[in-house]
Amino acid sequence: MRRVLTLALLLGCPAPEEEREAPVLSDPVELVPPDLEGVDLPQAFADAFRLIAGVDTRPVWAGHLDALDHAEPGCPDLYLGNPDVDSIDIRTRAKGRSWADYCQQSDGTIYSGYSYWENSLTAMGDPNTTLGRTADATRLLLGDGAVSRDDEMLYEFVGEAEDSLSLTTTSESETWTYTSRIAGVATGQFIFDDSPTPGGFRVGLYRRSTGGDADTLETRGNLYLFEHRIADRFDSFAVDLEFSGPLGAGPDDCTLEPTGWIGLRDEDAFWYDLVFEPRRGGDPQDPEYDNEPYTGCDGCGTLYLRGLEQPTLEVCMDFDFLWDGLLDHPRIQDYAFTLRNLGEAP
Amino acid sequence: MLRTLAPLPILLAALALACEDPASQTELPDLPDESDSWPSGGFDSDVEFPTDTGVAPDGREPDHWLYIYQLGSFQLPDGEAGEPPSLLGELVVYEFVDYALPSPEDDEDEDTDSDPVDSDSDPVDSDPVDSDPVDSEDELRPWELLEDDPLHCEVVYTMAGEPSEHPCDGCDLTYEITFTVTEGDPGPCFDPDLPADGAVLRIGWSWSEGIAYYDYANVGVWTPWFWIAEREVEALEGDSDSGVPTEPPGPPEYLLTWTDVIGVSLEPEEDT
Repeated sequence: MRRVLTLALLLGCPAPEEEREAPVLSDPVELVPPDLEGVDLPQAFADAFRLIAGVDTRPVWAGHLDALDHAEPGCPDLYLGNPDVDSIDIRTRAKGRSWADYCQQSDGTIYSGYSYWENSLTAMGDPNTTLGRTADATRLLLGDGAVSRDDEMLYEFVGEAEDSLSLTTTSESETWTYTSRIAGVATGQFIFDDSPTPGGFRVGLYRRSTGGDADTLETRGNLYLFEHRIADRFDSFAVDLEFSGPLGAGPDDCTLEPTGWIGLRDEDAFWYDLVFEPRRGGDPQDPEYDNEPYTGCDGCGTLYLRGLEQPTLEVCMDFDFLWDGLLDHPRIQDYAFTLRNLGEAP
Repeated sequence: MLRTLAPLPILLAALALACEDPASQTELPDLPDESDSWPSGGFDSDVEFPTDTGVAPDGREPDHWLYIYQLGSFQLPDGEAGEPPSLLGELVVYEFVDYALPSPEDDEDEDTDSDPVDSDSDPVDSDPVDSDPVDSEDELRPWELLEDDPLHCEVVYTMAGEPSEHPCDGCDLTYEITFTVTEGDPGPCFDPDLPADGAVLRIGWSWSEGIAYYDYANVGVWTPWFWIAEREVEALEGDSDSGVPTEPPGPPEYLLTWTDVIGVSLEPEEDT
């Protein structure tokens, strides 16, 4: 049988000479850039930056707490630690809590799947002194859980979200570093009521921002919006950039634009990438600086449509809005969530 | 195995206190972030197993239940003239797997049977002179008579506190309380919020609410932490025949309690 198959394969193979003749298109199809009529690109990219500020662990954690608020005794079942060591792999040694169930409450609310979370908050020092108090807080939420009622999704998060806040408060100032990583799918009105991204998202996004003594932003990842559209056109963005704000910037730092890129994808799956390459360091008047004229620190980026550079379509933005509290940190008390908060008061 | 005698009468007193007619207990305020469906009005000592309240197609329930008891007492001995009193007390933590401490009602109900675990009188009321101390100790730790010891964790802390300079709003008293482990190890306990050895917790309480609040991580987040109640210390009757004088009642004792029951999934080696 095996011999018959081998013979058939040999007979079916083309001659070696034929294999070398690759088809050549005599008339390549021109890559048509998307129609930009009516699209305010600076505004669309600014809206994407604003979304970055709202897509982190916070809304998902808030939805998770709402889901717990709606718990009834026994639905869902609450656990200390991993709710099912046989089936769920939670690679953490910390002491977390969880809910896991497939149950229906008296009003028809259904909990299915599980959510596991950890949080910690420590603080040292006195905020009324010049040295101040430093509080370090972390949260972690992971799971595959949903809460629904009738045909309505109230909460769904499949994935992992974690954030951390280091906050130093003195009698004179406050400095902070906030970091968030979120990867997963989130939907439901517990998370997205009054949200700039109604309908939810699929996300893989890292963000680190600082404030108080130096405004900085570092972010990378991507986001797909299930319902919301930026400028009625773009359903996704991807980003990889670093940015120093005016506060705390060094003399060579460009504070008018980031280093890196941000891309928007329209519903036809065409990408619109805006690339910023400000010059850093060196003599700003040096005419030999590489890659002029795109390296100026002027808030203007180079636009690429479907990967093709658009030299006549420079997009210039005013990023002041980023540093007016948009990237602010969560409240430190939001990290205090204990067994006592799970209903069995105190 | 740890053998703790002193806190257990406190424990039983705390349980008895908690088992009073709810109407006689201080009405507790609604706490934030709680569903209305949770019971209010004080904790139940004979904690009920949570039950799935609706259709649960896979019939899922925790394989094991963890019973947490945190029971303490303290006194505020008179300080030096003009000085606020210091706080001295003890906190005992028990965590049991699939085992609930018998409530005082259980003891009363079963006093007539011959079960050695629950026989004889209520330990709180027993006469320490007439009873065998070893036997009493065993009676106070009924789980030790079980074939599989359900005790997962037991920690005893002493509490020593001084008035705090950062009182909580609405509290009658606030103390900075140092928790020192005298027996056991909080490490294996499930509760992630047990104080580490030597930790200083800022705790304030409101008599009218019957709640002691903990300033979580000392960042001004006052979190309900214990139920608090006062227990009068009765006068010790003297014996005129032997010339033992009656001792006046001591300063009142304050009881701290928190209990919880929650599911746990144990690693195979733990799941015996």
